[in-house]
Amino acid sequence: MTNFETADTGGLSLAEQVVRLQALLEASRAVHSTIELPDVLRQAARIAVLELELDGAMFTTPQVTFGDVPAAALTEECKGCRRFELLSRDGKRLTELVVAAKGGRELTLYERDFLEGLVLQTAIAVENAINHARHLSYARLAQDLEAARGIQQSLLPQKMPEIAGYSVAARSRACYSVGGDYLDIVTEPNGYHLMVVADVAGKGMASALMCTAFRSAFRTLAKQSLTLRELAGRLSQQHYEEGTEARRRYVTAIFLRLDPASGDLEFVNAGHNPGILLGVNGGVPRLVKASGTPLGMLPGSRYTVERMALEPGARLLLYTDGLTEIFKGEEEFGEERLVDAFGEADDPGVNHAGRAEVALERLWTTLDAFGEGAPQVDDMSAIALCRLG
Amino acid sequence: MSAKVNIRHVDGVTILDVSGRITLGEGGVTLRDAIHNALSTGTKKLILDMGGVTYMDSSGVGELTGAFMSAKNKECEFKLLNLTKKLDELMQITKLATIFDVYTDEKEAIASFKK
Repeated sequence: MTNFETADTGGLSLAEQVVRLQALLEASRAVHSTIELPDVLRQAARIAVLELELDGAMFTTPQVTFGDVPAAALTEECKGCRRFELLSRDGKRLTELVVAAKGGRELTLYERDFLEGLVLQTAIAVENAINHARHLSYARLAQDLEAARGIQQSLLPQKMPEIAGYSVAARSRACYSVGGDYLDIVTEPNGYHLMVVADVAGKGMASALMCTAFRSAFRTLAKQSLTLRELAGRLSQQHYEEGTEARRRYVTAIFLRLDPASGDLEFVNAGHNPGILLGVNGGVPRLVKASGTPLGMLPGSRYTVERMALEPGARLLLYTDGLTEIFKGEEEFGEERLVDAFGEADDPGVNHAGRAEVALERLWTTLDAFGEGAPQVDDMSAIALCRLG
Repeated sequence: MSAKVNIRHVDGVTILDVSGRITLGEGGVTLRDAIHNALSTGTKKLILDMGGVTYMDSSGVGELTGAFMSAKNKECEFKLLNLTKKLDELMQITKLATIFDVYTDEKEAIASFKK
C-alpha cells in the first residue's frame, strides 16, 4: 500500500488537508469580498489572527492592525514577530504583514504555509483595491476636465458681432480638453471692434487657468478706451507682476482695432505670430510682425501701433502657432503655406456675412489634410476678418 | 531624451552645454536648476551653448528669459551660443532676439565679455 497522501504533506491526512484548503479558500473569499484597501487589510489581518490563534497581525502601509501587536512591530527588531512581504504582479513591494504569536513562539510549518497563501491572495486584492482607487480618481479628474472644457468653450465669443460690410469668424480647437489659446472680440461704445488672438505658453490645464486670468484682465481693460499701445503695455505689466509662475506662462498676443466705417486697422503684436493681410487679387501679403516681446515676460515692455487699411475685398487672418506647427513627418506646415492656404480658402468674390466662416472651414480642412490625421499637438485658434466688396 | 546640462569653465567664463529637449514637462526644470546653480557660484560671465538642443517649445523660451532676468539681477553677463534654426526663428517672432546677446562662435562669445 502506498501512503502518498502523507508522504508529500508532512504527515497530514487527506481530511486535514481539505480542512486547511477550505480555510484558505474561505480567507481568499473574505479578502476578495471588498474593493476598499483598508477593508481588504482588516479582513486579512482578522483571518490570520482568528485562524491561527495569534496575538495580533498588522499591515505596515497603510497601518491596519487586528489584535495586539508589539509597538516594535514596525521595526525589524521586533522579537517573536514574523514578517511577510506583499508583492505586486510586477514584483513591487505593496506592504508587509507582521504577525505576533502568543508568547513569541515560533510558527509551525502549516501556519507559515497558511500565511504565505493568505499573503499571496491579499496582495492581489490590495493591487485591485489600489487600481480601483486610481480609476475613481481618474474618473473624477476626467469629469473635472470635462467641466473645465465646457467653461472654456463658453468663454469663447458665442456670437460674432454683425459688422455691416464685413464678415468675421473665429475658430478654436484645443489639443487637450482645455487649452492655452484665447480669442475674443469686443464691440466698443464708439462702434469700433477690438479683437485679440493670444497664446499662453504651454498647454493643458495650467495654461487654461492663465488664459482665464488673461481674459478677465483683457475684458476689464477693453472697457477703458485705451490705445492699443497702452492696453498691451498694461496687460503685460499686470501679468508680469503676478509672479514667476505667471511669467513662465507668458502670453503672446496680437490685438486689432477695426474702424468699420473707414476700414482702418490698428495693430499691436506682442511677440505673436504675424497677422496676415491679403489684398483682393493676390499681390504681396502684408505681415503684421511683433513690435515687442510677449506679454508678462519682462517688466516695462513697450509696444508700438501699426496702422493699415482693409480695402474692400481684402482679408485678414490672426492665428496661433498651432496652425503653422502642423507636421507631416519632419516637414512643418509653416507660415508661407498658411499664407497661401488662407488665400485659397477665402473667396473675395463671395459677398455675404458667411464668407469668413467658410474661409476658416476650408482652411481647417487644408490643415487637417496636411497633418494626415496625426494627433493635434498644439492648440489651434484663428480669427478671419474679410471686408466685403 | 530629456535635457542634459554640462558645465565648463573657459578663461573665467562659465559655459553650460545644454542638450536634449527643453519643454515644460521635460527639460525645463533641469535647465532652470543648472542656471540657478551656476549663478549661485557667483559667476559674472555665463554662456548657454544651445547647440545640442533637439527641441524647445515656448516654455523653454520662458526659461531662457527667466535665466536672463536672474543673471541680470545678479549682475552676471549672460550670452547665448549656437541657437538652432527653430529657436532662432522663435526668438525673431517673439522679438526676444532684441534682448539676448546671441553668438555663433564660442571664441567670439568668450571674447565679447567685458574684461
